[in-house]
Amino acid sequence: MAATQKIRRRRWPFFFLLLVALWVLPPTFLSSPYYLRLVSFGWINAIIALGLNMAVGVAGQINLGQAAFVGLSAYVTAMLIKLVGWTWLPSAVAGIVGTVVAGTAVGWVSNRLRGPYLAIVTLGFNLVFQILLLTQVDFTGGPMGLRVKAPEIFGVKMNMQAIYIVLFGFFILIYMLCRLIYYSKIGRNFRATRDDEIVARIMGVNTVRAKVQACMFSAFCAGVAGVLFLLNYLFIAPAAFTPMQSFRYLAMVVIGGLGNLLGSVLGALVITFIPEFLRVWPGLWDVVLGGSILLVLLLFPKGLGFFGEYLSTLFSQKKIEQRWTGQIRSPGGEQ
Amino acid sequence: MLVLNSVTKCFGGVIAVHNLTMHLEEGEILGLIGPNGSGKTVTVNLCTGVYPPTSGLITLDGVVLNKLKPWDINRLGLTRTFQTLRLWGGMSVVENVMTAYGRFMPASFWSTLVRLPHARREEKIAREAALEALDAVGMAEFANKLASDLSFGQQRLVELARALVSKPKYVLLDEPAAGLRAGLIVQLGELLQKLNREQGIAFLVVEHRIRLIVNICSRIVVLDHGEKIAEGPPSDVLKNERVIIAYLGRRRTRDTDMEVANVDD
Repeated sequence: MAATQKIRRRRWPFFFLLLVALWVLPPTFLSSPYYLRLVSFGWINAIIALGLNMAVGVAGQINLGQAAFVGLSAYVTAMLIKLVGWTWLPSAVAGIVGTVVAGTAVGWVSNRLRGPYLAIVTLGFNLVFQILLLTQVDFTGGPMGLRVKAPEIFGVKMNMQAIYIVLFGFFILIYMLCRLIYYSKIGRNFRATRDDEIVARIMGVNTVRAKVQACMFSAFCAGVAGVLFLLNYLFIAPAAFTPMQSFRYLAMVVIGGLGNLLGSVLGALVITFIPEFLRVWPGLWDVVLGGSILLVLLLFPKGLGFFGEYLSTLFSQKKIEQRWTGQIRSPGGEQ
Repeated sequence: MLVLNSVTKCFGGVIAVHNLTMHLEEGEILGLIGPNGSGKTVTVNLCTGVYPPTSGLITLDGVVLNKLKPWDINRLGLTRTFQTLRLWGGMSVVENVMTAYGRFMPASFWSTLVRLPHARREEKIAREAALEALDAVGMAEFANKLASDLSFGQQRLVELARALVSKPKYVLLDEPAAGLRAGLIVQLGELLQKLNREQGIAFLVVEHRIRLIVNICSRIVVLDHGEKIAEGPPSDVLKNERVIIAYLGRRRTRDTDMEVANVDD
């Protein structure tokens, strides 16, 4: 045991270096705004997928409207900046708070409807949201969307590099939060609710509270991602928050492995980057998406997270097998 | 004392439990037997708050359970195991047991999230309690295994550990011996008696294996078609004519042959 810890401590710097590299290298070397925006978009999607995974994969509450939550936060922020004239920070906070309130409503619904019924309600929410965006042209700009100015820090306009740094910071924060929740009493209550709700209730888990917490956290992630989305593109349009997009987020979670946090990150990156390489053949993307989901589910039923687990063994000496089995560790011990 | 006072439970037109009055005293082992479909599991479900009774009153040490949420009933010191295996398969064995320890984990969401000292201490105590409970049923070495990877018998024992970790005063066991081989059943009986003797836990044992019931129970309640047909010490109850009829049917004599024939029509 002592030896394992020693090795893990020795490998810790490598992990840290990788993190810093991912944080610093893209804004330094990616001169093309297209590629930098794309990488940023990958991390934004990872945040959304992580949040969705906490609700769907960890707590077992199916949500087919995650794109609407992202959109809600982005639109509230943009409208406050543009129509009310607030600055970025309070608008962003209001956007995230508004999204968490909407998440609480979903949590409330999830205590009355389960499984497919909950899925239909959240899908319906996304459709309604989409229609509101398209019809309320005075507020949302309709199909043309909304454009905002980049925020200023001490009078200096944030450039793309600065935005990437902030954005990646938020990604790390959300990932840590997910882990802190997963490996604690809160996460155990989520997973117990997912695996067998009736037993969880009898064994003293307040499942009503657990579901609301899971949906709120999921919405919080979507809210943060929505603000970052707006920050990254400085432009939003209804096309980015369609029910189809919600399915893509769900696909990221499923491809990564339900309940697997690192897997969600991998799934999000894969689903963000692959279509960009396929731009040469328009229309092929959806075929590849569907095909890859089938392939992953057939070959790796537990998702791409397997590779994530394998990668993480490079940084710690734990056997893959042990990691598979929901390993035991002291809370926050390995962060 | 867990008391059911003329409790009735209907599902639509089906009366699963009819006007049942019984009690589980502190520190006793009570057997609850009856043919299939006689309402034993429904009784256990009613006591643990899975669904409320249609009429009647269930109290635990004077507290009315009728409208309490299951997790609140758990906090009063009443817990159970299940007829079929119902561990949380996606979690490790020790996590399964730790989750059931929530009764003694009052730390708030935020202090748990940011790992404040008292939340850390609470988590550590929960882990120790879980390992101790696993050790008590001889499953400590499997603590880090995924629950769904265990064999049937092992999962049964983990379920027992999960029920016992929260230091309950009353445990309702729904067919604890189902699917266990004979040797294990004897061990299970000894384990229950030991827990009863040393920790004063009261058990309600729902079982089909009469020998286990006779060995460990001081009192038996017999249900048939949702009604109590007998109650008392095992030796008396098993001689009771209504019990024998419910379980085995009537002795074949000329008179009853006629009756049976009539009933069949």
